[in-house]
Amino acid sequence: MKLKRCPNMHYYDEDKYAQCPHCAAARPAEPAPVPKPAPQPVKEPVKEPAGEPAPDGTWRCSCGAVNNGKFCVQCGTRKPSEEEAAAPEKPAAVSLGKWVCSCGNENEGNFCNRCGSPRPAPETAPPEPEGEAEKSLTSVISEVSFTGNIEDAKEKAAADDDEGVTQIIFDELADELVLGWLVAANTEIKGKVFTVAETSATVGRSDPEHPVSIDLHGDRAVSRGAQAVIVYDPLNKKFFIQSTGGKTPVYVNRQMLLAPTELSAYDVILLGTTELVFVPLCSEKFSW
Amino acid sequence: MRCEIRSFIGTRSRQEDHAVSCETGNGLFCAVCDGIGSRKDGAASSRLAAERFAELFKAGFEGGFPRFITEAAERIDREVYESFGSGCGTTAVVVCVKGRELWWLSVGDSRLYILRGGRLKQITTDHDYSYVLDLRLKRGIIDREKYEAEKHKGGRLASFIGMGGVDIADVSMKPLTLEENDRLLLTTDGLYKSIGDGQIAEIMNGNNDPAAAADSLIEAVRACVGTIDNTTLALIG
Repeated sequence: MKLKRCPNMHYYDEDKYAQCPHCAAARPAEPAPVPKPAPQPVKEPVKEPAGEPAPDGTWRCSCGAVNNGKFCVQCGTRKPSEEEAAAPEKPAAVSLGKWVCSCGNENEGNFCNRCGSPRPAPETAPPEPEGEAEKSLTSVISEVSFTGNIEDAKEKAAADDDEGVTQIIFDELADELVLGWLVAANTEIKGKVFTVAETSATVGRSDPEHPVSIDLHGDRAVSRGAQAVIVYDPLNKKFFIQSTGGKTPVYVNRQMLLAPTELSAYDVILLGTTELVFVPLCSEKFSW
Repeated sequence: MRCEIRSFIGTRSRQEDHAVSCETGNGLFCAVCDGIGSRKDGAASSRLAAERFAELFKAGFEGGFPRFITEAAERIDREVYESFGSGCGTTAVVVCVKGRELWWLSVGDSRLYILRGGRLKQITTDHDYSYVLDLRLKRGIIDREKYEAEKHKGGRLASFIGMGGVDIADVSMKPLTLEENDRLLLTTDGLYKSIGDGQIAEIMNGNNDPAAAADSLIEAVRACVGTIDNTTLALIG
């Protein structure tokens, strides 16, 4: 056997593998084809007939609307004097239907074409100043606050049911059929039983983004996320263990786990500082 | 700024909340802790945690508050775990007010609120299973079906002091600059599950004196019918 470390810090037997098997396992078989975005109808830019002369007796506003009053019905701009004819363009405003001005004139634009008064504000109230203040406080809080794993926080800093009783999330028993158990043999969780109750059970340390089924949450020597996977083969009634290629090396009976290995009763798995004794329920003698 | 602490046992047989405050050259410090109910030594866990936070704060620290408080939280987590074993614990919401700077840490579902310009705003996140589920759904770790199936467990606590390895925490990485007339409220879930944010805001707005506001908040909880949880709050203003 020739122990080799790949650039991603995985160990493997170079006699058996040409390439790192952990990296190969982690690599997706083929990149999923990226769906082509559906063709979007191209919006034709509204052409402003700039330079086109307005019909007699009317004038063309810089927003493009043709008017006959003293003020543009579209944007409220006063009719320009000859000298002002070359005024800078204004963005076109949206027409919102007819309205009657306080002066009695009926209009379609945003401003009365008789007196220049603006269209009354729509029913929806403008944003309250308090709303703005609240928004800015929210953004300030999100800027200074961190929510997430405390180790990440530290790193960053260095750089109901029965009578409303509080329940915690990880004392929940799995509702699947039991396949076997892992029993902690040392550390402060000595004697604690973890149930291997899924066809595939991950061992490691959970955080909200990397859930694992067997969570050694008290062992900080175990990196977050799944470090090993226990697989049950229901046809042959055998258990296997495999490293996920994570940061924490996995040992079985003090041998480093490099390739998928069969687990036998009373094998000792070492992860971080925690030793776990494997006790199968399913075997040749019993299975579900 | 003054800190007014009030507590109410509710309809429970034991008071498992604990709160402390102190003031040093590093500012005004306050910790509010909610011991985990139905579990032995919930009250002892919250007392130990709150008092240890204050002790460590009084002992002083080098470097910034975020580093001090995250290290303190992990250390106290270990102490609570070692003192009472697994199955015990406490939430913790702590603040430090130094001049106009507000710093905080929270582990669990106790909350820190700020009242600014008459509006109440929750600063911290509740570290319950809903938080975990939302995050997992957002990241694609679980699907909608799994999310819906698990949602009924959403109120369960996902992170606390004494779990033997704190997971989720809220920490201020930079200070929030306080404005004149800002007021702060640290509270266990007894308060906000009994009377809700709207009523909390109304009471705080109606009582400019922090002591009167703190008393009125407790009175409002007392006036509630049905099961009432332990309620402990600290009002800073």
